[in-house]
Amino acid sequence: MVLKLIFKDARTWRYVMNAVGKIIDEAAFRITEEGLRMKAIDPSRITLIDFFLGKESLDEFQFEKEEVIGVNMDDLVKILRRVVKGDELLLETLEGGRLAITFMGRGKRTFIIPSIETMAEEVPELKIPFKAHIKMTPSVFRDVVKELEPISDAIEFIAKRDEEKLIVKATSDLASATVELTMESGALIEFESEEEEARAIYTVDYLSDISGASQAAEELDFYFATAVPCKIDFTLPYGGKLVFYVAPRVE
Amino acid sequence: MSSTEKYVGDMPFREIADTFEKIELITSRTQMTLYLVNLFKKTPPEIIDRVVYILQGRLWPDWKGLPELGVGEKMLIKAIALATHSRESEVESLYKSLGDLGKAAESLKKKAEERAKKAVSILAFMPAKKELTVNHVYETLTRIALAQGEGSRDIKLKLLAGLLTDASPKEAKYIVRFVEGRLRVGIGDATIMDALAVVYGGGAHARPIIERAYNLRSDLGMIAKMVAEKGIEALKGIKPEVGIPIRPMLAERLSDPKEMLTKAGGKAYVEYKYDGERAQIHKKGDKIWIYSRRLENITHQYPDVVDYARRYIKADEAIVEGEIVVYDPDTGELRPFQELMHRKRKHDIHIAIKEYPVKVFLFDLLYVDGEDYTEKPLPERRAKLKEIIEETDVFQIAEYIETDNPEELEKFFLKAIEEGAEGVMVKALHRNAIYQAGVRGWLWIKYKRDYKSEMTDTVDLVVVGAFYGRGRRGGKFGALLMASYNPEKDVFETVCKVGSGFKDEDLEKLPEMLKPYMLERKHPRVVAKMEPDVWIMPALVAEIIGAELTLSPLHTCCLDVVKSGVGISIRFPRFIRWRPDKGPEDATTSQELLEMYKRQLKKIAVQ
Repeated sequence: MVLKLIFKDARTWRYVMNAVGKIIDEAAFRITEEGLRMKAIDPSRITLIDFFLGKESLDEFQFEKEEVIGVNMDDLVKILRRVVKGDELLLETLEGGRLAITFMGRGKRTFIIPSIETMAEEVPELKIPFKAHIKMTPSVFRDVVKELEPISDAIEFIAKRDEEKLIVKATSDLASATVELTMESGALIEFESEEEEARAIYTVDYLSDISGASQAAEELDFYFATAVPCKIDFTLPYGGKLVFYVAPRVE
Repeated sequence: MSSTEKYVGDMPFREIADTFEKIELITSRTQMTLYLVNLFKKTPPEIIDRVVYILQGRLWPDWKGLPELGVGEKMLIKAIALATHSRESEVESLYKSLGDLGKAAESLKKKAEERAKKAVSILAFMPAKKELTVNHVYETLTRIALAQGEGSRDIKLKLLAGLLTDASPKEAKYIVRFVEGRLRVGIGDATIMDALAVVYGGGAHARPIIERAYNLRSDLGMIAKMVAEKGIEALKGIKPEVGIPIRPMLAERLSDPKEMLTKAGGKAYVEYKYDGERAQIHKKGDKIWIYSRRLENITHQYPDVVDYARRYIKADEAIVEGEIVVYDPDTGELRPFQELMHRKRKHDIHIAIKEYPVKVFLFDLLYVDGEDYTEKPLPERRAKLKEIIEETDVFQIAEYIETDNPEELEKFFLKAIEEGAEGVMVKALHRNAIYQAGVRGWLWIKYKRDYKSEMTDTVDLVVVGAFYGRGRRGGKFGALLMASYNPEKDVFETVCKVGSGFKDEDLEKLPEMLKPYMLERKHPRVVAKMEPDVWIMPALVAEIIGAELTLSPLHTCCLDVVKSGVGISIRFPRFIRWRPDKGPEDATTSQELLEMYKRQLKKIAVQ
C-alpha cells in the first residue's frame, strides 16, 4: 500500500465527482506530499477543472511516493452513488495499480476498481486578468443557472461596479430572461470590480454541469472580466477546493 | 536567426523535422547533402551526436547493447490517441487509410489545432507552450527506452504521449516514425558523412578520413562530435579499439571462377563461406565481446564462444573475425544457419548450448596487442592469425586453399556446398589487399550457387560403407556411406554420408546389423572416391531425405554427367528408416537421382 487517505464526508466526493464526471470521462489523481490533486481540461478544451484536497483537509494521509491514479469517471460516479449521510471515505492504492474505495459508516463497504492508463497532462496555471470578484452562496449560483438554462444555450454575465450589481441574462430569438443579484438584496456576499462594466458570455451547458457541485460546497467565488474565462471557485467542507474555469464565447 | 547561424547549446527540434520534410520530397543525393549541410551548420557541436543519431533513426549505436525503445504499434496508437484527444479507433482507421502512423499523427494533430482555433478554448489563456528542442526530444526518447521492469509500460506511454502533445503536427509525424523505426526519409550514413566533410572537413577531401574513422569506430554520432569539436586532424589518429566493433569488410559477388581469379589478381585464398553467423570477436585479457555482422552485441548468446576465445586466442588484446556455425555433436557435421536461431534467446541459453553446440571458423585478424592490422595485406593477417590461435576442433581457421586454377576453385566450391557451407570466398592476396572496414569491394568475392535443387521426395539408398562416430558416438558407428544403383553398369555409386536422423536404438543395433556384411576392402560393385572406415557389402537399404540435391566432387553418382569431375549428392541428408522389404537393386537409381536433380533445379534469388 502506497497511499491511504481518509476524508470525513464522503458525500462531498459524491457531489463533486458527479459534476466532474459530466465534463470529463477519465481523471488522473496526482498524489503528492501536499495531498491529492486532479487537474484536467475537458475534451472540448472549454473547461479546466482543478480539484484539490490538501493534507490538512484529510483525516488521515499516509503517503510513500508521488503517483498518479487514473480513474474512469463513470465507474467512480456509480460507486459514489452508494454513499449515504454520515459515511467517511477511505481511498487506498493496491498492488497491480488498483484503487480501493471504502465507505465507512453503517458498516464498511469496499469497492475496488482498476487504475487506468491516462496521461497526467501537465496543465499549466492560467494567467487571467480577472476584474470582477463576486462571492455568493453556492445555491444562489445554482438557482440562477437553473432559471436561465431553458431560455438559451448561453448566459451573459454583467457586473456593474457602481451599482454593486451582477446581472445575468439569457436571450434567444423567442424569449429572454434577466436575473439581478445585488449586495443590497443579500443575494451577494461580496462584490468587487475594477471594470466599470464587465461583460462576458459562457455556454450554459458547462455552467449547468458545474453548478451541480454546489450541493457539496460551502462558499462560491465567481471571478470574471470582459471576454475572458470565468473562474468558479467552490470551497468544500474541511478546506477542499474545487475550481472550474470556463472559456468565454465570443460572438 | 539567419538561415545558417549556429544555435547555442540546444536547437529547436523543428529544424530536424523541417530537414526531414524537405529531404523526403527529393531523391537527389547532392541536394540531400545540401540540406544536411545547412542543418549541421546550425547545429551546436555539443549536440551534433544526438542530431546524427536521430538522422540515423536510432538513439545510439546498436553495439552499445542499450535497450531499444520498446514501444509497440499498440502503445504508439494509444499515445497518439491520448495526445490528440481522439479515440484509438480513429487513429487506427486513419492509419489504415494513410498507411503510415506518422501521417495519421500529423493529421490528428492538425485537426486538434484547428479545433482549438475555432472555439475559444481555455488553452488560449495558457502561457505559450515552449518549443520542443533536440535535447528534450532525445532525452525523453532515452527515458522511454531505459524505462524497464514493472510499470514501465505506463511510463513509456505517458512520456511518449507527452512528447506528442508538445509536438507540432510535423514534429509528431517524424517522432512517430522514429519510434516505429521507419523514418522513411532515406538519409544514408554516406550522405551524413558527405555533409560532415563539407561542414567540418572543408570539403570532399576530408570524406575518406571521416569514413575510415566511422568504419573503425562504428559510431557516427561520436565521430561527428569529435570532428565538430576537435577538427578533422583528431580523426586521423583513430585506431581500432578493443571493445568497439569495426564495421565489417564486405564482398562483391560473381559466378564465374575464372573472372573471380582475374579480379583477385590471379592468385587467391579460396575459403569456405560457412552458413552461420559472422562474428567479430574482441579480447582484452579475460574480457570478451562478440559482435554480429550488423554490429549488435551478441556476446550473451555465445558463452561457449566466449570460453573458446579466452582459451584459444593467445594474445592479450585481439580482434579476430570468424563464422559461428552450429554442428551436430554426434557426427561433427555442420548444420544449416536456421539452427542458430535457437541461440537467439535470452533465457535458458545453457540448454541451447548443449542442444546446438557451435564451432568457430576464423578468417581474419584486425588488431593484436596494440597493432592495427587492418592496413596490412591478407597473407600477413592470416599468418598472424595462425600464430595467435591455438586451433582446436571447435575453434579453428576456416578451411581454405591457395590457388590460381579455376577448376580447382570450382571443385573446392562444390565440396564446400556439399559439406554444408554456403559457398566460398575468394580473397585477393596482393600487397594492397588490406582490410577495408565497412567497404564492399573486389578484394573479396563471394561465390554462391545460382541454382539449387530442392529435395522434395525421399530416396532409398544402399549402405556401402560405415564411419566410426565421435563424441557421444565414440567407438560406435556414427555415419553411413550411401549409394544409388546404376542398372546399366550394375554398380553402386555413392551419393552421401548420412549421420543425422538416427535414433539411439538405431545406432545401438548398427554393429549387429552391419556385421554380416563387413568387408576387408571395397566391394567390386561399389564405385567410390570416399574411403569409409569399414566397407559394407551392398545389401541394406534405407530411406533418406535431405535439404537439396547438389553437385559434389566427392561422390560418384552420375559422375561427369552434369559437370566434369563431379557427381550428384545430397546436402544435409537424414536417415528416416530401414527398408528391409527392398533389396539393393530395388534402390533408387542414379538416373532417377539425376532426373530429380534436374526437375527441381531452380535459380536462387540473389539476396
